[in-house]
Amino acid sequence: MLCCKGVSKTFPSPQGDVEALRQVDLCAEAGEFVCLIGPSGCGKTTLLRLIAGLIPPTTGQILCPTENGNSPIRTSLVFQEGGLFPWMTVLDNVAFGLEMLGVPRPLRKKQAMDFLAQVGLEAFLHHFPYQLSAGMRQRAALARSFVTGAPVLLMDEPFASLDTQMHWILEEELLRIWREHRKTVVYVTHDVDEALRLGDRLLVLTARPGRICYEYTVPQEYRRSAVGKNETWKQEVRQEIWQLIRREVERSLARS
Amino acid sequence: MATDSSRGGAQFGPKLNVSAWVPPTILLFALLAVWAGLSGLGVLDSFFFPSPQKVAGTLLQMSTSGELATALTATLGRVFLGFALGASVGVVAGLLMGESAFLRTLFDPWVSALYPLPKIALFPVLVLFLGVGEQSKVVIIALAVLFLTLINTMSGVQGISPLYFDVARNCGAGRWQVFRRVILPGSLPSIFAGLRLALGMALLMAVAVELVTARQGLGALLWVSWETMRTDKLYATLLVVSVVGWSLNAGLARLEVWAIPWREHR
Repeated sequence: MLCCKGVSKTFPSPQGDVEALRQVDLCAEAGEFVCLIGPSGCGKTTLLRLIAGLIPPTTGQILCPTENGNSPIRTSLVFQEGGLFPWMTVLDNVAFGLEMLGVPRPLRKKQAMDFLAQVGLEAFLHHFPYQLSAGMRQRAALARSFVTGAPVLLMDEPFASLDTQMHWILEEELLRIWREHRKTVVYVTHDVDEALRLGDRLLVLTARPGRICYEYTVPQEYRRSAVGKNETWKQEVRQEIWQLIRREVERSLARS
Repeated sequence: MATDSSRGGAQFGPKLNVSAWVPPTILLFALLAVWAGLSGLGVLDSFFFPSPQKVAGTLLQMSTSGELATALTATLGRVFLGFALGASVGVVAGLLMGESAFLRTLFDPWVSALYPLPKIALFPVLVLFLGVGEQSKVVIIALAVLFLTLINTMSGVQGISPLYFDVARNCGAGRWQVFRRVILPGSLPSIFAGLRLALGMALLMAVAVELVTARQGLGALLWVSWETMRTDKLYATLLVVSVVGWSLNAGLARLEVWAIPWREHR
């Protein structure tokens, strides 16, 4: 389980402080798939970086309560551009997290190869990222995020730079691996439909300072149904969320 | 998804492209032929423009007499020593200043103030302290190399996408691991850009200081040829200098392809 309690983040800047997030409460059950939607610049990425522990919150706490108290959260980040190191081969990229955990070389190589096989990249172990297509790079990034066994997966618009077909294929790929390994996922997107296709629960953030202004739990029977099936249930909630986001986008435009 | 699987492995490096070097070679020989023709007809003054045959003959004579070898050894020795000294200090300092904001604020004013100063202007001062021997020459070359490599290395480190630092730290990398696995490889393209500029600068500085003070070296040979009115020797030596510059650059380019296999080389 992952819990953000009253998390705020303010960045100091010469033009005055910028309040990126205000009092965000977000809890995700173990194995839950949570989608964060919001207008651009609402602090979605900041929230992910806070959860990942890359930056400290200004106020509030990010916790991972377990039976024996709070443990530090192990997370795995996936970015829009994948974030594969251009100077490492696909295999070394995927094994990097394990290397940092101190897993011995033969073992981490074997584990990385297993996960690369799961995303269909077994023939590209020794290629460099520039030699792969964008879709293949994101597959490698998926393999890298799952291989370390981190219980929390943080995804920042991971497929946004892909074309629509590749986007759908990779969504299915993600869901397939996620079903097998069952991690808590916080998935940032600006696409309501994508969120409805993937998530258990949708959270809408306001324009800066980002606050959670709407929450929607996808009915059990509709969760992650195949594309094109039972689309009618989405109409109402999609409409409602779009109205909210439009209002927020207009609000942030009016301010700038 | 269509990526040719034969693209991986060991096939990196620039491909020999015949059409890229045949036309320039033809142009070179055409110009040589025009030069030889004009010299033969007596249109060109043989003092200012000795014929290509004469220059080639002089070059051959200089290489068999050992004169050329002595000069080459002297110049290349200074270039390599000065380059090695300056580049090692420059790259290490550039990496440290790129990595540490504190070191950057501490030393950046010095670098910014000293970089635009033409290093050759410091040569008299260096001679004053170190004498006219090898030391002053090697140090002036090292100084010129140092600034070029430092600035390029530093900007290379700062140009690494913050994304890679996030990924590395998210995986639990410590400061040293970030340095070794992110900063060092990530700045390599910029380091090499700096090294190529610096190697050219090293040769330039070597020849320049040899013109002024040396008894040996390509620069000295140029100056002596001018003083003794041996224009054929002057041209022959110039040719050698340009071939040396070209070879150094080509050698470093090969090294770069080997050191950065992860970048698409054209």
